[in-house]
Amino acid sequence: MLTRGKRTVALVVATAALVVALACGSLAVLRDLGQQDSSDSSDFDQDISRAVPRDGFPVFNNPPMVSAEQAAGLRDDDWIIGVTVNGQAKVRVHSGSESMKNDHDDGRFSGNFRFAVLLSLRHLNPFGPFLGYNGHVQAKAYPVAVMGVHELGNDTCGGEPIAVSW
Amino acid sequence: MYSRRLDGRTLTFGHEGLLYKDSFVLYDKQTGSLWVHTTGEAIRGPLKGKQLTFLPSRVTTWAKWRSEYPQTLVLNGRRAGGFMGAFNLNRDRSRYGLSVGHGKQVKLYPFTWLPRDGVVNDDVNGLKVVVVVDGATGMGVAFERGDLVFRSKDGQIIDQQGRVWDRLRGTSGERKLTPVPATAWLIDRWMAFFRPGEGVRGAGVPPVGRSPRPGPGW
Repeated sequence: MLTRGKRTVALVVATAALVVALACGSLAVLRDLGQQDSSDSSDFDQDISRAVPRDGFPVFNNPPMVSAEQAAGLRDDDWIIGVTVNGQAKVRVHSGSESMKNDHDDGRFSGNFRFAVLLSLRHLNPFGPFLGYNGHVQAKAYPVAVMGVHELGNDTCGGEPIAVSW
Repeated sequence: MYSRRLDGRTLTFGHEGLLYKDSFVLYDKQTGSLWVHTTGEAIRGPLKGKQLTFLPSRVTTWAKWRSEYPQTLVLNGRRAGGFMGAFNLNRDRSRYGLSVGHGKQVKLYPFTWLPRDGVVNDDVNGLKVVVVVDGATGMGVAFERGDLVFRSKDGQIIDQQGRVWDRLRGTSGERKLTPVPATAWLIDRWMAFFRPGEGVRGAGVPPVGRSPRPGPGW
């Protein structure tokens, strides 16, 4: 009886141990899952550091731009980041109104919207070359030295909203 | 250079001021997600895991760009050094490479490994590409090449059928090669994101630091 009782106790203990073990196991799994998440963030934390305050750089939004002739301060051997976007007039008009909405949000008026409207007119009734457009291509250049001030910009090119970053 | 269109909306970016693996972090004003400026990937926030569409752009000299696109518009403004403003490829050529591909599927071509006046027929993750170095600036561009194989000739590139293509625009008459995203990276910064030999990430990237040099047809 005693032996049997001992057995029962042993069984109970073993079962309890098993339950505890399982619980611990689940906890371990949970912890693992948690660790996956947190290891993600600890990697993140490890890899991340603050260089400057948020908005520490004067990021530009649809900045006024000048023609090649007007860019007097630029030297021939200055590095620039150049982008060209091929667009259809229709697409430009559409995205032009989109960029107008954006600019409205920003409280600014978009030069690109004007381009878009005029370009659609040109599409219907061509009247020769148009500033900034080379056929159906719009080309924009961002001097690297000037980008050193801003680091980042929101702009449009050929009707495409672009993030200028490099 | 990225498109700000993503899944039917237009994002506007601000500068978060953080560095992630030595690359600047941006935030979008629509969702507050954090984006790495060099990879175009969201690493935090509601858009985490999303990837911005890379737009082909070119780093070149003003003289070169202006002669190619006389009607270009240009951002005017104050100049400043530091970070990006300190870029000087002529001085730091060995520190930079051309990263070809998009998102996580990229391949790095250290500039000092590229033939100065040369052409590299290669593939990036199964996509056949031709990497072409601009003789004047030493920067590179890349195009999908299909089954074409290019070599350099008289300042342009020529395919195996003898067609001559504009070296930097990838055009031959009405034909136009599709540009492949290619952008200059600091090699050590690139290595922080992409490890050679880790799946498709950076597959085939030569260990940085080993001395040159790809032969013809590399």
